[in-house]
Amino acid sequence: MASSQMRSLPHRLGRGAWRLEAKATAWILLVLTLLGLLGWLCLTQASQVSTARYRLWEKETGKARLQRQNAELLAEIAEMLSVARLETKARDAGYTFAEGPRYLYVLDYPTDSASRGGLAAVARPVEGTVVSLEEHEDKSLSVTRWWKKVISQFTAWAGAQP
Amino acid sequence: MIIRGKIASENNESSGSKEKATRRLAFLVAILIGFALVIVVQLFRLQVFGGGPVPLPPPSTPEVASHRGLITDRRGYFLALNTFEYDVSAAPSLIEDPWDAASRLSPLLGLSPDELLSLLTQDVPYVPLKQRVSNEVAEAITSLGLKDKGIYLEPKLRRKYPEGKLAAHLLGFVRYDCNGAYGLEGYYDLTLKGPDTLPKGVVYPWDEALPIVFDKLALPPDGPYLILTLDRNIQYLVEQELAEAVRKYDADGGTVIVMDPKTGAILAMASYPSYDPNRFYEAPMELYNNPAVSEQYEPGSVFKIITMAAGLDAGVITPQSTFYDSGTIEVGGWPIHNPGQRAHGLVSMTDILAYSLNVGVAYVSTSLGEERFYTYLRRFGFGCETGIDLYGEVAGSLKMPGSSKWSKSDLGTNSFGQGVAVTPLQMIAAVAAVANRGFLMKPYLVERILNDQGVVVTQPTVVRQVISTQTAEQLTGMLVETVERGAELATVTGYDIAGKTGTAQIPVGDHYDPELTIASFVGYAPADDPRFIALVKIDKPRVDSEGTHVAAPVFKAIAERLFVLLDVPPDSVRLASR
Repeated sequence: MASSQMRSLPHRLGRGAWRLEAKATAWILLVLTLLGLLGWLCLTQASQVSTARYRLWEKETGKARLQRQNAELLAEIAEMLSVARLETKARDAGYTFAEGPRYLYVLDYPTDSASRGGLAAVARPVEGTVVSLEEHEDKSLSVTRWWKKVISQFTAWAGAQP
Repeated sequence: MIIRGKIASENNESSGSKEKATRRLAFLVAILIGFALVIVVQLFRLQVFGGGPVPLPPPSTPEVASHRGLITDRRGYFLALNTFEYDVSAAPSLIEDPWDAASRLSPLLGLSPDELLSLLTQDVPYVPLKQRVSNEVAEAITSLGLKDKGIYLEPKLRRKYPEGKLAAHLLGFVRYDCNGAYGLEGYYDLTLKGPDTLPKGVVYPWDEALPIVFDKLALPPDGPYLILTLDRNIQYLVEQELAEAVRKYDADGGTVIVMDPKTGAILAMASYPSYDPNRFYEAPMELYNNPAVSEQYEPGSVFKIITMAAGLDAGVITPQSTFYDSGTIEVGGWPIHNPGQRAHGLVSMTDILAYSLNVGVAYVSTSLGEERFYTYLRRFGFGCETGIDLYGEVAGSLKMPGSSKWSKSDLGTNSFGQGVAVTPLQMIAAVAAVANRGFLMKPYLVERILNDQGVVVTQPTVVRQVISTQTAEQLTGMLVETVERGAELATVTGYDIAGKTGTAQIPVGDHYDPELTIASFVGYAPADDPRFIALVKIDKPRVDSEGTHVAAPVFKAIAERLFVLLDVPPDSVRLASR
């Protein structure tokens, strides 16, 4: 009796410890699995962030390159339009400065601001003003009529010149 | 029994402590699992279901330092803009074939293959190869396929002036350290630089930057645009005529300013000799200053306009007043003579201007008295800066009664522009007050500033009314007659021009240069409704020294073209259409 009690105690203790270890191992395995899952998710997301970051960097680089090209083109156009270059081109093309221009006195010059603005007013209405379509058409017609008159006046004048 | 009992009690204690440990472990694991579950669920939600929309960053996403703003003339033509140069560098350890790289880069970088090879085979992580190569070279390097394979190109901002020398004094330039110097670049340096903030990347509402560095590759927005009052066509015309005059009269240099007298807007401002701001480092430093605002000179007879304006406005004289010119007058014990020591007998005030009689204007200034005379000079703006938006303006020099440097004789000599130092801008601004019905306008160069917030428009500023409108009109009439009688070379058929010539002596130490002069002319047109005023100043002309012969023809040449450019018909046509 005593000996069986003496045998069963360690045995019981051993089984208890095993049960305890198995339980702890299961918990630890669960934690490790969860941590693994967590790590996998984190790494996947980090990888996606890196990919996105690289693509963004690529886009930014491309944008910067385009902006630099744009700046270079703008400078090139500005150089091509420089007044010294244009003058040389114009001279080469046979143009000269107008010496002693003559002015023709134009009758019925549209003096009010609306009709004087004429075509310019149609093309570029003053900010903050609303001009109706009918008003536009009316102005355009008056300007057209006036311009035809000027042309005929000019033709008559030019024909009378020696 | 005693032993058994002891063992039993030990067993009981042991199982009790293990149970406690197990409970603690379970509790700890439960907490860990709880945390892990929260994170896993959140990650799963984000990764699998997308997690819903990510909060958008505020509109001011990347805060980066602005690019320098551009400068255009009044018609929108670029006068200053930004381009790029590149610093070329290498990481020798990343270059697979240094021989090949050296031989291909050599002609592009202007370095010998051996020199390049020694650089590319160095045992260093980084080696600079060449600074500030052009965009063309950078593109050629890129096309070689070496870029980012051990060869790197770092873009550097470079200011470009597409018109070359045009308006160089007025624009100034930008140094390699990206700071503006002289002219508008110097005056508006901070404005053109725009907001000065460091790159932060994308910033989220909780003020945390994403770990994405935009670095220098990302171009920030441009700084504010400056739109000038300057007209590049007029500027070009003026520079051409000035250079031609300096060459023709074998002069040292000169200055021409064209201004709208009604607003103070500068249409052109040129000085010769000039420099190319694209290569400012090649020009001597003396050329950097803008003589139109930074150099002072004794104006000579042009100043008689001011004396006459003061006399008329104070009521001391009228245009019809007469004066007996004996050829000399003594002021403060100092004899004053006319040019050529000539006497003209009984003359009117208009004659005094037409013949440019020193004695006559000395009579006017002495009649005014020192207090009134110098008060008028101050009111016309002499002795203080005009306040133009340009770097390096000086105030000129006006000795005032009461100061130790002033003597009674100055009242006489100052009346015809001797002993008083002015800048060309001061002089034209003062005469513009006569053209503008007596109102002195503040000269300005920037018409509008365009920035993110909108447009800032410069409004013309009246400094003060210096003379009455009636006086200004009377004097304009006198000046028209002065041009017709005394400066025929400045006249343009069909237009009334009001103006005055000047031939100023140049002080050298305690005396005046016996030969060299400063020839000048200031005039405005059409006289009754001026569209422009122009001042021509030619320094030390050697072929001829007289303003009448040197500066007046330059004014005429400029005025003739200005009438066309500004669309000003002859007086007869213009007045008939009213």
